[in-house]
Amino acid sequence: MMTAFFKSEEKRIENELLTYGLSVGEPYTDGVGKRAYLCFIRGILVFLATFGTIGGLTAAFGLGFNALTIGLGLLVISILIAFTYFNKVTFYVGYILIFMVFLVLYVVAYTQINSGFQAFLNEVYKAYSDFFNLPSTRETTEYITDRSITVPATMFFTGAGFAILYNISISAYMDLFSTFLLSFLPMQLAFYIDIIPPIPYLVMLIAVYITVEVLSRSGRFKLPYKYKKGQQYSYINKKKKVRYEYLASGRGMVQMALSGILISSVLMVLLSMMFAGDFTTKYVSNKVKDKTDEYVQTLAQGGIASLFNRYKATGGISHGRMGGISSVSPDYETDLIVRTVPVSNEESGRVSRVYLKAYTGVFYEKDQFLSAIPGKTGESELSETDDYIPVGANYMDTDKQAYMKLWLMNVDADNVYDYRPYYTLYSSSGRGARSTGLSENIIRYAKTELKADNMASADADLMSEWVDAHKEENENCTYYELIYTPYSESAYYEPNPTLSDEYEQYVYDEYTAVPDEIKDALDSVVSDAELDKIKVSRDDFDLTGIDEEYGEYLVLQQQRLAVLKALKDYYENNYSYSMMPGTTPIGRDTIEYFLSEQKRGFCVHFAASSAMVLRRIGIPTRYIEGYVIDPYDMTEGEVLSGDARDWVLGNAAGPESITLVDVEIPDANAHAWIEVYIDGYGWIPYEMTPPSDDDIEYGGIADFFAMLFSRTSRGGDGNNNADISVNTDIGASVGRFRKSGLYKAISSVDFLLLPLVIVILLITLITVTFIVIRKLMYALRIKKLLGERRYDEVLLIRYRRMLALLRKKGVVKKAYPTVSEVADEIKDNPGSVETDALGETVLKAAYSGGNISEAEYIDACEVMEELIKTYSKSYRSEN
Amino acid sequence: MKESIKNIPYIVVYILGFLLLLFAAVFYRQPLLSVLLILLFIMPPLSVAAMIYTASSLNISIAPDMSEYELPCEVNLILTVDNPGFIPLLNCRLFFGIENLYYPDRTDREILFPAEARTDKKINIPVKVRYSGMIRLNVIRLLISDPLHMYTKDILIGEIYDIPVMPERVQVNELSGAKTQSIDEDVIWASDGELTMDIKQLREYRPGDKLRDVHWLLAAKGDDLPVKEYERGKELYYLLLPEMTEDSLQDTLTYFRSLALLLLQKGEIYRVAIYHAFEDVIDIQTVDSYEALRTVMYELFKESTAPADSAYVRLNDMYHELSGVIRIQGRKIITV
Repeated sequence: MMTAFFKSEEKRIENELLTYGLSVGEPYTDGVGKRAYLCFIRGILVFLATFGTIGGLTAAFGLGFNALTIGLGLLVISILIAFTYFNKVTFYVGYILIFMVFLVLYVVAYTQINSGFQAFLNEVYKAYSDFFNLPSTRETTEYITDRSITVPATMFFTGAGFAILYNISISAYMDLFSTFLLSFLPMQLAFYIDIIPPIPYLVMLIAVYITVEVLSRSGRFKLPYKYKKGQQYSYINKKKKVRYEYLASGRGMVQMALSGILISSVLMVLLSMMFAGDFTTKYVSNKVKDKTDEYVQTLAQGGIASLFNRYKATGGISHGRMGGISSVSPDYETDLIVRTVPVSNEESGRVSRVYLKAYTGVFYEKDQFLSAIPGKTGESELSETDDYIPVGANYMDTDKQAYMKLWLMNVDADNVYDYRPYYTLYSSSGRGARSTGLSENIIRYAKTELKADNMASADADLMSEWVDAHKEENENCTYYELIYTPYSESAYYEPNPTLSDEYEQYVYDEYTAVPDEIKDALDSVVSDAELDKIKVSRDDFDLTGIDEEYGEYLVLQQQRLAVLKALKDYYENNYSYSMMPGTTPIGRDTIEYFLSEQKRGFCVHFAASSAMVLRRIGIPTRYIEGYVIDPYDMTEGEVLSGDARDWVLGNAAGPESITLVDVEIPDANAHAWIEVYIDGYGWIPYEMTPPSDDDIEYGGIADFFAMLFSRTSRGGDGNNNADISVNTDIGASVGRFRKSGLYKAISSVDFLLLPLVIVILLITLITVTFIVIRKLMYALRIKKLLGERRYDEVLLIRYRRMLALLRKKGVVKKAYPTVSEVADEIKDNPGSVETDALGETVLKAAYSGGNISEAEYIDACEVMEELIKTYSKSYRSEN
Repeated sequence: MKESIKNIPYIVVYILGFLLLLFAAVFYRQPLLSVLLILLFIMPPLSVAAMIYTASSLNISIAPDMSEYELPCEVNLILTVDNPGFIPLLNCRLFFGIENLYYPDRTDREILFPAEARTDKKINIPVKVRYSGMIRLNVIRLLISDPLHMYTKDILIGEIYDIPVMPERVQVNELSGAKTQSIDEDVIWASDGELTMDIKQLREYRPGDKLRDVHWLLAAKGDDLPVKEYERGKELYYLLLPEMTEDSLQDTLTYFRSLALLLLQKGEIYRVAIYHAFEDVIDIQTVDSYEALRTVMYELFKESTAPADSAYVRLNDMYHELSGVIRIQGRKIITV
């Protein structure tokens, strides 16, 4: 190969000599034989990249090591590896040797290296667990627990691996992209969870990036083995274009590396100053990042296998399906629109939450609540009471109740459900002193198309208008009117006469079933929460005047409520709420995994698992899905003019504050809760999901915009904010603007403002300083030369500046004009100035070698000033 | 001096890539990386400013190391790079052309070299030479790019260096007494020999006498106009005619120069008839020193080749009755 190369080279030279009489040979400078020096410098670059990555990562995760020892070790390794490019022999033999040493080391020190690696992994898991607040932390086994041995061993080993890769990306190709990826991807382990490695390591990496990019752009780094010894230039001949390219500049590489270190140090100092404040709190979630977070959490918690057991939940009704959901990603599109009157909870005085019930989960089979028991007849055949409570049923004292009207327009929700509204009797704030009430306060249920008897025709017209106003959201929306009774504490207890014994038997048979495989997990919760020890005594209640039989029912009801409260408290103390709990590993039951390990989830997890726990202690429970209208949604809804009192039916015991609102309910308001059966009374809903810990902070530019749109943002009113942390299942209680992409986009880049301003200021400062220094240096030089009476030099400097100006103005067109050419060009221009004397003085100053007199200098300067004045003026007038 | 922004696509890709990375960093909530990227935006202006500042003090020149060469030889061009600044400019490119005027070569040559900071270095460009002639080095332009290769300063130089390469000296036979006899007086040639500075006699002015020959000192003293009549040298001169045909160009040059040097060594003063083929004119020059011979050689180097005998024919046309002309045709030296 080499011989062929030389032969063709000789042929080329001979050919050129015959044809052209000459042949240009390979250029050279003195100081040939700096190959070793170049390998050494590249070794240093490889070392900076390797130590920056390995040291930075290890230090970022808090693993202690002796930086000096590790640094020196990696330096030696890097330089040795860089010397593989010294020549062909070192290249091939070197790589084989390195591979063998690598293999031997791995075999000999496997335990140490492996333990060090596991130590690192454990620290990474811990950091991720802390960052994401994961309930469980993965741990791997460190066979050797002395990290002062294992960590350095692993660092040397992985460092050598990185050095080999960097040697390819730096020594061979000087490629920024691959070098960047090699360091950046591992560094992401730390960056992803906002851990900033110690600054010196980052300085090393940035310095390498800068140096590599500059050297690759200039090309002065090449000296791989393929160039013969002593060769300094490469020869490229393409169609009458010959290029001699200098291969490697050792001095240039050192200078560039030093510049890189200097620049990166300055950048890092600036960066540290900027990061004195905490940027991380300013983020508003974005879907992609959330999704990635979700994967990362799943991976951190459940390992790679858990990544494959998942499906996408986009909010809305999930029909009892829960396994594999790693996170919920609502699209915030409107599903339902409701027009109603917000009703206060008399107990708390606050606006109450309204539930719109849709899906009922009856039978739990691995990871899913089915709406019917497989192979059995539906319960509706046994009793219709649950779904349709007839108007004027005898247990409702219509004289004492207020009825509320609610119009519901189904825009994008699943239209197989009716979304019947009801209030929770027992809110998360605890049970009332003597909480009684109605399970489902629907007293009349009628869709408009059914033309309910008592619906006024005026109402029907209004409803049509309402629907028409929202037509654009969905042409095919369905809509109807619902009438319900808000919760009233004064309602008294009466058994429900429509409940048959047969139905009750059915309920106890079917709504207490639990799968065998999760019984252990359920029992564990029951005993931990001491649910089986809760006893409510009849003496705790004032049952004066209440029928004996009814009293029993009441005690049982209170007993069950006490259990529910205890379970909820248990959840609050031991479990956490999260929209991104991570998936359930393959082969595990969702409820079992949630209760025993995950201990983190959203409404579906809490509702489903509590249903199973309650069933385990014999309380008939079912799982419900639907939508929830939060108090915040009510108050943020569009307030309508008109007499809201029309919407309160019945007698005067209605809500205190009467406002009619339109509330848009997005998919994010989808929710899951449970219903518990109370003997002789029926089903009551219960909220099991604890409050969310996910606080979202706002600030900066985005909130400024939010304030501008204060009607729809939270920035404008803060009164209800305190309530929002209660069971915001999807963080739904943010204003429309806050939900918008614009707000998120602005919020996301908010923190970039400061560095951007700093960079612009820096660029301006550098430019201004540069100009000022140049002017200053010019002035000083002139002053110094004049002091030494060297008028010739001063004159030449000023003449050159004048020429530059005249060229700029277009008076002189030639690049390097002689004095006479300048004079000619000036003469060609109108309003010329006599320049002969100037020309002579300039020639004298330039070529006579002697000095010129002060008088000649002054005369020449006057002419030059006149010239500048003339042409500046004419230039201005022309333009 | 022309300054230009080169690599526009590269800059666009660079900035787009940068922005994409920044976008990804923001999107993925990587505050450190985002801020770092923003800070790195300072690099391009810094790079350009550093280049402009350093380029102003950069001193780059290229020249041969000797003024004249004789075959066999190798011409050495020396590229001097002096960067007194603190910033290395590793991206300097010099465009030049080099050719023997007899054998035109239009190859564009480009040399890429670094101007390291605080360094004054010399880069040697060896040029192997086979044939004699005038080697013309045309230094066209110098491009200096900033470290990130975003902005390029394009300096048009347009300097030309002519490097004469003399043919080697070979053994030639001595000439046997052939000296030219008759030639027009105007070119100081005469059958009687060369005019000398010795005054032969003073005589009366005759119409046609040159004013410079009037003895003004004596004329001022008297009424008549005495005219100086110079002594004519008795010696006759050699007239060499190198005939530069395409086939035997190098041999003609070699033998002509060898003969010319031999004559000079012997103390002969001789004449050389140079045929300007393009204008079809014969120019006769006297060679009395090595310096004069060099001038003749330079003139020959700039001449183009001519068909065989054309020079002799033209010489005969211009000077009739000419005899004793030494024609050099390749390796042949013929006296006619």
